[in-house]
Amino acid sequence: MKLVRRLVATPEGIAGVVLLGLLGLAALLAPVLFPRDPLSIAGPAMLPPFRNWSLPLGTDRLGRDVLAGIVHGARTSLAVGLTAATAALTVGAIIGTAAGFAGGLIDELLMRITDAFQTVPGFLLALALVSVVGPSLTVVVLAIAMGAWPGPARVARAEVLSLRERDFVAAARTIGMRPLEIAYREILPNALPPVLALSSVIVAAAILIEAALSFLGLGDPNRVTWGGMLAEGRTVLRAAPSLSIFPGIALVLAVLGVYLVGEGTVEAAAMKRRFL
Amino acid sequence: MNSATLIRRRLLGAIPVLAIVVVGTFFLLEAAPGDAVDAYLVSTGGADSDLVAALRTQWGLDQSITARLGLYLWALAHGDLGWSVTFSRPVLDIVLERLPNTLMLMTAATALSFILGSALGIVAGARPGGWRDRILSTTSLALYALPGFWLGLVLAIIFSVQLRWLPLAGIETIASGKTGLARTADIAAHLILPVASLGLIYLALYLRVMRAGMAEVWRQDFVRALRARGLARRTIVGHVVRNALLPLITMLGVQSAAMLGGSVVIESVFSIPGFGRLAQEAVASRDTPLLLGVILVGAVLVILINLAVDLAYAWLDPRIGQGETA
Amino acid sequence: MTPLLSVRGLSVQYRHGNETVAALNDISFDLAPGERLAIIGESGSGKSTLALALGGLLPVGSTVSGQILWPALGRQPSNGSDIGFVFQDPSGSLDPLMQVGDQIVEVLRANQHMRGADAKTRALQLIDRVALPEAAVIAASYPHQLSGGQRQRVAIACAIAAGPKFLIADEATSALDTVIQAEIMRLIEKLVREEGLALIFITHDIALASSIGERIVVLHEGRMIEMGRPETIISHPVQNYTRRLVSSYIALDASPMVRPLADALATGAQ
Repeated sequence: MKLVRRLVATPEGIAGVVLLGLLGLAALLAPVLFPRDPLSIAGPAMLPPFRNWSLPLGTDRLGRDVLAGIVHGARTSLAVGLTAATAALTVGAIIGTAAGFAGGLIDELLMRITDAFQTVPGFLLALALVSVVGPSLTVVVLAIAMGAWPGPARVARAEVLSLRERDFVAAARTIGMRPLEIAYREILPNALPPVLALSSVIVAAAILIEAALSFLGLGDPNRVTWGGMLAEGRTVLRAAPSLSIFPGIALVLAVLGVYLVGEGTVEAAAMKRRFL
Repeated sequence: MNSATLIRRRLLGAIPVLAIVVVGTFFLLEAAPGDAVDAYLVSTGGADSDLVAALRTQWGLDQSITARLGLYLWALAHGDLGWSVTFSRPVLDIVLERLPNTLMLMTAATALSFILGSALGIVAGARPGGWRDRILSTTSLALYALPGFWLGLVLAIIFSVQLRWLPLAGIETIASGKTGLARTADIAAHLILPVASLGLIYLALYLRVMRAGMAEVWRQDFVRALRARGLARRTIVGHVVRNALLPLITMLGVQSAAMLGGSVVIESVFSIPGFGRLAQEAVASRDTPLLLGVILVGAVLVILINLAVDLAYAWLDPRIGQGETA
Repeated sequence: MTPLLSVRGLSVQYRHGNETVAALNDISFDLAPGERLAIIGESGSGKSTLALALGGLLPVGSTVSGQILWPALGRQPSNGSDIGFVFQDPSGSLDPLMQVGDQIVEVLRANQHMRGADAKTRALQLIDRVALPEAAVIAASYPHQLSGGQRQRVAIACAIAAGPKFLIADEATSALDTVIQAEIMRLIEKLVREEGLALIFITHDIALASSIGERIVVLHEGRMIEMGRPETIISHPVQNYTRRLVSSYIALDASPMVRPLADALATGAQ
């Protein structure tokens, strides 16, 4: 909790927490603020923004409320971002620890697999998975995690390799702990901090990839997504450019918020070291 | 280890990786419900079962997965990437036809982002904490948070729709009959917005990494020794830049995979007939051999780029590669 | 004789976030031209801070009070042409990406505005001067291709390249093996003698201090607690700390501190 306090003391941390807080609040309160289905028609089509108080950001080609779409879209983006990142970090940490601790052939094999996943551009992997299973939120999360787990895996493995030789591991072996236990109860908790340092980058990337997939029409068709709104807006780019601008701003604010929180955390952690 | 050994090692090491990519992707795509015949039927509106069975036999889709994998690998060894249902042409042909456009896009975007990004990073890093640094750091963070395709849309709105300075889509003006220099200029004009959309994001990245790298190098002991020798500030900055530049070069390799993925969306936004867009088209029409081919070629491309980057790094860093102890 | 360096009441404080650490407290001494002064102290005594303060190399956020005067110079000194520095870590004095010959040339061009060919010749001469054979081979080498001792010699060459009259050696031999340490000591002594350089030699080793210094200054927790000639300091230390410093020095002819176990058991059993 001290870390959190220090985080809020940095300018980046404050800005990031505020941004994410607002967006998170919007996401949580979406059904309260805009109880009607955001995909339903709310007013006349192609209403420009700032004309009508009840439709502050206007409507799209089909007359759907843009502001409602943005608020509901926050749920999708944040949910996908956090879930995909958690999945990627978990899978990556487990595999990386296994590789680093086991060594030898298992390490080689796992590293080759990691290489394979890193060599194929993550977005192409996501495309492939979506094309196979079909677009849905779960698939999008899986697809993003598939491309993102190698990073944490490598970091975890590097950490484990350096921790493996330390005294407390030898001590654990002496008292008879089984290798699996040592790996996941002693080593992994100590290897986590650098892995977690990647989390903000992965969350941000996940939000952006989900948006890109939705933009290409490969996102969940039953949900409102910022990417989907941008795809819609593109069809009327000349007539109503605002439809292409607002969802993008929402995306930028979300990603910015995540980055700022990440930077603030790094700053806060560094501050701790300086006082020590 | 010299360049030849490095190349040989890397290429050998790439084989198991590519094998995993091929086999893995093959099984992944084959796990899809419905195959190319189903997709074809959707587009043609159905056919009788005899024709369906004949098609399946013709395209080899009636055999087991392992048999098909074997056939695919055998064909692969002969440079045959299969047949694209969507385009009715060999996959390799389509890929090779579309690849140059994407390579142009990626090269230009990389050049823009790396050169301009590191230059601005040097400006920011020459005096960490200074006003230039603060402005550049804030701007680059905002730029880095932009989705590439949204930046493309915004730039298109500003420069194509409102100002009408630049074309909106495609890689060149169709049927304009331009040749030589005029054609090059036309293509270049069409590429400005896509390159900017793709490159500005990575520019922000390289700016930040360069700046952070320089801040790191400034703290190192030898910089203090350089100051103790009465060297001019500009000379010292030169030392810092050279030392900070090296880690940046490794990033080029890593980011190439990401940029290839990013080109998919940018090419879609600007309707560029490129390799990235091919992936999207393959997904849209369930063209498995095409998608498989795209992924495979994409992986090969990433491996080659990484190899080139590593060679460049080894050549630039005297601590690696040629030159043994005096 | 006008002193080369006159330090009066020098105090240095570092600022870390909200805390202020006093690194040096009220240091005063004079240094005559050509004089050799050894500064001895343990870690945290402030000896490196003193070296950095003299060269204007203190990190940002340091507060300096007191006076550093250069009466014989009559002006502020320039690093390189007036003061030469040799640091402790030989690999921390050279740019790893540049050939060492070029790094010496750089010093020459910056301080003495030598042109290319002249600077290269002079660089080779300097490499000779620091007793490195095959100057041309050394000049074309990168720092990682040289040994620690060789790198330190190059660092010394860089320090004296612009002809300063004052050399500051901050733990210049502490990171080296004992044999190399002795060689570098001899080199520094020789250069200082032949060029008539004033020298401040910073170390934690009292033997080295007394072998090279004409005077010794003892620093403890940022304060100057004793100053005098080596013989006086060693045989008649005034302060308690100095006495402990001298007595804790272990020479080769001192009696063993750890006796073989059998010995101890045998004597103990009786």
